[in-house]
Amino acid sequence: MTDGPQPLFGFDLGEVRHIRLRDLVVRFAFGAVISVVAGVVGIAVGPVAGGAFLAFPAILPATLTLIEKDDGNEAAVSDLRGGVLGAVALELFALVVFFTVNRLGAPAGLGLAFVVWSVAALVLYVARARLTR
Amino acid sequence: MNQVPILAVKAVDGGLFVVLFALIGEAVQPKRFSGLFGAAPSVALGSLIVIVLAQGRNESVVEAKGMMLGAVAMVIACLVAVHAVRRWRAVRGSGVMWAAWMVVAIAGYLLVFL
Repeated sequence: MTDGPQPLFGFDLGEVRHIRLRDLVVRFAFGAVISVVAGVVGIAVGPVAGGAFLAFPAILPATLTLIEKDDGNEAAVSDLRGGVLGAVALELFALVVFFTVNRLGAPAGLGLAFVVWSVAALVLYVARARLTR
Repeated sequence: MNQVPILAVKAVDGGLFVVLFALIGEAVQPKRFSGLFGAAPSVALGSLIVIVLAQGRNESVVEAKGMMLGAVAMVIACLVAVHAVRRWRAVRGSGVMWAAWMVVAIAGYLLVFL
């Protein structure tokens, strides 16, 4: 029996069970450290500079090293290609926050920004996948 | 205002959001799709929520302005990292990615905001 073409994306909750606690602790630590760094930069230099660090690729190194160890270098590179698309969508997230939080209120503004990130990331991913097929 | 408790809450909040998005990233396939979540607004959401609660909406809007610059730097850094990780593997490639982000972000900050 031959395998069919790989689906564009899929969801498998079973994969979550394979995550090592140590890996989650590492990711928590990266997230905590960069949050503090962004806060300290915001205090020391100003909120614009601190805000820039909210888009610092702090999590990617931990993810890349784990993926490379488990699945090889090409898998890590493939993960990075997805990261490029996610970062483009992150730009839209920031724009939506900038334009909507004062107009719509923080919960609606942040919620809308997250929805925009999700939709944009998915659209970019699907578009790139179709273009490169 | 004493910033230490706010920083502590940001740390925990940011860490939890990162773990949440990491779990989602693990559950989705293939790797290129799960890679999207490496650039998810996890730290941003965690910090912006705390900023809004502790310092108000205006502060979060100003931080979003900086985040726009940071996101541009992240796109460029990830593009650089695709080549760097392939050539030098994940650890060194990630170091190159961080350096690229710092160069672009600092240059952009100096050009645009000063």
